[in-house]
Amino acid sequence: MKNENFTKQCKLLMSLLVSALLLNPVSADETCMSPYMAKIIGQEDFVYIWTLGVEGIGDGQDKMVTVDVNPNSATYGKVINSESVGGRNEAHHSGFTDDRKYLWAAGLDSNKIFIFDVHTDPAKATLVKTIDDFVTKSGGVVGPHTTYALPGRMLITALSNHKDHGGRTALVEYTNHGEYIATYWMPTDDNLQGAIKSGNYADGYGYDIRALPRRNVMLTSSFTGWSNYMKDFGEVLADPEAMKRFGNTMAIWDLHTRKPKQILDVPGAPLEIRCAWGAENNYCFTTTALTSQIVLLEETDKGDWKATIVADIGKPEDVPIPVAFSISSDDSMLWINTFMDGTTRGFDITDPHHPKQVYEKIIGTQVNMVSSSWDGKRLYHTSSLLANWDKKEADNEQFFKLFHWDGKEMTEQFNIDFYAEKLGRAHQMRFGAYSLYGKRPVEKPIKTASLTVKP
Amino acid sequence: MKFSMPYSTAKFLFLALFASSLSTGAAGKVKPEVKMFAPGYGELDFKAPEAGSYQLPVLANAHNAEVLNTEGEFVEFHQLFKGKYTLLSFMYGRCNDVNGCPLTYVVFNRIRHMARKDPEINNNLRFISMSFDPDNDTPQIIKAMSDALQGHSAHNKHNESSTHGGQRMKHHKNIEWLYLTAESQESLTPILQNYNQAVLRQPDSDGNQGGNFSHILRVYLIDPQNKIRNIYSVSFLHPDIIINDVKTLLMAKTQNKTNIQHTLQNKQRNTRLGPSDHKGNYHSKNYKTRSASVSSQTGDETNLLKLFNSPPLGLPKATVPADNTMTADKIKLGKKLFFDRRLSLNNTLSCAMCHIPDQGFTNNEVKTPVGFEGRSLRRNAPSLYNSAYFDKLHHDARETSLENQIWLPLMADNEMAMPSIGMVTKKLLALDDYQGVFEKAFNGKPASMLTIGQAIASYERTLLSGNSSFDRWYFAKEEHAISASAKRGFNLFKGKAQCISCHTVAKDHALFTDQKLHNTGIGWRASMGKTAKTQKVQVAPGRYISIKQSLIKSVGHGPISDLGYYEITQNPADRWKYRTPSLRNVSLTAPYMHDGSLSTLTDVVKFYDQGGVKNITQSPLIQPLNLTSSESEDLVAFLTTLTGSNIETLISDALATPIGDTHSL
Repeated sequence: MKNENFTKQCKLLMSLLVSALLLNPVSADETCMSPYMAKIIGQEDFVYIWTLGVEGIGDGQDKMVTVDVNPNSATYGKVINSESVGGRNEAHHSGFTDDRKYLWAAGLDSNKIFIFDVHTDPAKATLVKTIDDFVTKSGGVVGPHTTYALPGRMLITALSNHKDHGGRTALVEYTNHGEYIATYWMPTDDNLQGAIKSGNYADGYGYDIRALPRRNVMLTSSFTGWSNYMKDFGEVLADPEAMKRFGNTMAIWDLHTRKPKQILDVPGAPLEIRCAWGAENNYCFTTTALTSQIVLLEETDKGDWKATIVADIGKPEDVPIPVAFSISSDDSMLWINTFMDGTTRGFDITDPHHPKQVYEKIIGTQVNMVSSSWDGKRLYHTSSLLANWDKKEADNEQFFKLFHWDGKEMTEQFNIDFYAEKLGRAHQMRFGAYSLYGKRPVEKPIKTASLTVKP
Repeated sequence: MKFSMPYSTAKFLFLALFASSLSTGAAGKVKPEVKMFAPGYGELDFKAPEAGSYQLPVLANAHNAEVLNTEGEFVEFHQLFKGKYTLLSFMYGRCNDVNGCPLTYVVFNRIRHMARKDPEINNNLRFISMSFDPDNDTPQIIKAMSDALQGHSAHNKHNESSTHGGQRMKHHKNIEWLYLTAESQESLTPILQNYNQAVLRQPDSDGNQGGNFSHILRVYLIDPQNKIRNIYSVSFLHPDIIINDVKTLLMAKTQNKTNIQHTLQNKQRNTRLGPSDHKGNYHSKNYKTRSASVSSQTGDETNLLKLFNSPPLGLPKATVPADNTMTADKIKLGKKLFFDRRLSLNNTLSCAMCHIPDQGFTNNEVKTPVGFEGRSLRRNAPSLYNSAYFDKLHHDARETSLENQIWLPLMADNEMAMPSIGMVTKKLLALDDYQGVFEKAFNGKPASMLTIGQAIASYERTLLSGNSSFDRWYFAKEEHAISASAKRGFNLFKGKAQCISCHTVAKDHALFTDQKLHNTGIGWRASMGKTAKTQKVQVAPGRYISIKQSLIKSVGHGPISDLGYYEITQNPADRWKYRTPSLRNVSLTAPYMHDGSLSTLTDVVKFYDQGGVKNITQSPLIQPLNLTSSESEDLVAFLTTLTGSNIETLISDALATPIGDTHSL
């Protein structure tokens, strides 16, 4: 009798919950953010662009540039704020804290991490704190790269170390308040830390990170050390020793314990990582910079992970150098930018084992980052890869461009010339919105946005 | 995810949803939304990490706060946190987000249920639910919520009720669960700020502030010392994880810390010869890494003054300037400066970033090192071994003493880029860890252009490396110290190949350099040679592609002029002349030649076998050698016998030196 009552109550309960869910349509965020992140629905108001200062251009300093991207705004497509941080730090990547109130932007050279308040006035990303003892606190980690939100914390990947400026490096964890917590060195042959070396390589290199909380997994990729990413790219290509110092691995970690579980061979410098969003899609992608391939990382039936090359990007022999890429919210499409030919390519990944290129467009003489809105209708592009890797002279275009994608064609909406604006090299983009913070623009219509957390 | 809700959990969740339906029901444009049930409602899709197999470092201090209990009395967080581990959640009574507050209630209740069979958890854990809606969640309301909770989860008939500090509680079989609220919005605000708890009141349909909130779910695990040890979000708020976390902390309390694995504690001393990031055989698809962790690179200090005063076999007594006699204090200070990255304009480069101890005091990983902000250098970093003997410094002999030499890299805008001598001195004078150090080493003299140069030169002079297997064979007459191949190689070295003409060997010592400058043709080729249209570039182990030169040019700077000794003398006859390097430790100092253009010793022997590169000012000493392949191998075998016996000691000493970084002490 008791069991029957229990079953009835459970059924009633579940029906209530399901009704509640149906009343609240699924919402989500730009497609590359931490799954812990508060999310934007619909039209973003701003794009924050972490910009490299260039000697002789404007004030020559790195800066966080805010661009108004709301088409209903009078300043749509315009730079509305620029916050210089002092020095040229090799501005590269940035990431929000999980509450999306602060944007952490790292300098690959100076090892400084600049923390911007983006909630007090979302139209004006304002520097509120600078972490300048990252190397000392971390025990010698150099080149902070991805600033990835975990609950109440930021996990920071890095690229190098202060002993030799090579590629061996670590993950470093901070609180949202900017207090150091711990350093987790990438597994190396002399200390695999319990990780299984699946192939021939355990180089200890790092680059990007993504988490799949539902599988208690995080993945890291590997690029190269300070001596290479700071070096003139032409010199790197012509230096046989330098070309040996690129990462060939990805590591699978226990997200909860921060311990490496497995090291996969992924030759050719696997850079960014994008994980599928679908609840049952336990796979991620990376692209290899030097070998120009799409690699699928997937969990096997045995619970371990494997890496499979699933497609070429352009002609690898032409060294297109895939850099940034974006995954669509429905796991159907990858947008991959290749730096050398300035091209974006769309790949249909409905079958993740067989991506098919379905679209191609030249964005500029060079292109690096691509950021997609959640609905996939707006694709933003920037131009700079690294200060000393960018193209030289006339091909060194520096821009921030918005394109609309209608499913068939990509159409440019605006183009901000970052050199003409005396700003510098445009690198990574992050989206902002008033409604994330319950704010409204002054005498401007509010666009819908929402907070949600994807388990 | 499988659902396995215990009876009490299901009843409680029903209660929670029912309670939320009593709210205003206002639905604003911004509302919490969910995609699926959080893992906390069911079974984990993975096995929770085993308790004790990991660490939970302190994340932050759990701030104190004065709040109200269910009786309307003021209580403090830190009083409540005492004696047990606390799970602190922020919630509000009208919450209707299934993956928000109700999730916390369910998970807490599940833990409570599981803890009935686990005294360790039952006795060491408490729950606190802190409202962030003081306007609605008055003490009376949270008391009602608490009472309802206790009643609906109380099929445990053994519960007894009592009061503690005024708030109602249950004990014995149930984990203590306290409900708290704030006195006012004003008193709540700093609490939310301190706990980094983002709460946003949602507007209702008219755009006014409604009764619902958007908030990022966070539950804090706080230890009895008021330290936050974990923060759970929707994804990880699960009984299995939380229970194992608490057990992990309880185990850490009782276990010897050395029993807990930690990457930084698993140190193995590493003073291997050659790069810790080993790339031998990288040309092959069968390449395997032999990497060593950075954290294992530690060492022991050695008596460098003793080494200097008693040079190893094969080296002569080194002289020092009359005004810079060697002392232990100077050497130690010079070493500190050598490894101090703060001696560059942006605190990223020290002498040791280009002269890397475990890479032969050069840089094995690039042909030419990289300077300030990645600026290009045109020449290979010379090894510093045995530099005490050199009267010509830099590849083009532009300096004559170590004391003077250090200022060029410090000030060059493509090296360490310090703006002036004054700024170097001023920077050092301001650093806490240099207070009194110069004065101690230099009889009261502070940091200055003179003392900085003298200190670094003193350290560099101690990098004496001899007593190689060649030395033991040649000078100590140990017949079997080197192989027959190496002996044949030495005969070639001093005979057919005539290497000894420039890489000299004296009767009782050998520096393997004539300290003169010669044009081998390497420099001429870089300046005058034609560039191939394509270049072979390695993109992965065993994988090469051919790249058009135009593509490399598109991302590279233009040619950098390098005319060698001519830049010093302005004499056309000195074009492309460079200093003869010592060959000691040569097998550790790849890549070779003044521009690092030759990767291996085999490449170097091949270059000289071909007679270098002919040009108008090439040294007449460079002639084709007509070596057989066997003779080339013998020459290489000889060169590898020149590695000093104290290399590991010098590397270890270097690794024992703290690296100066921003805020180093």
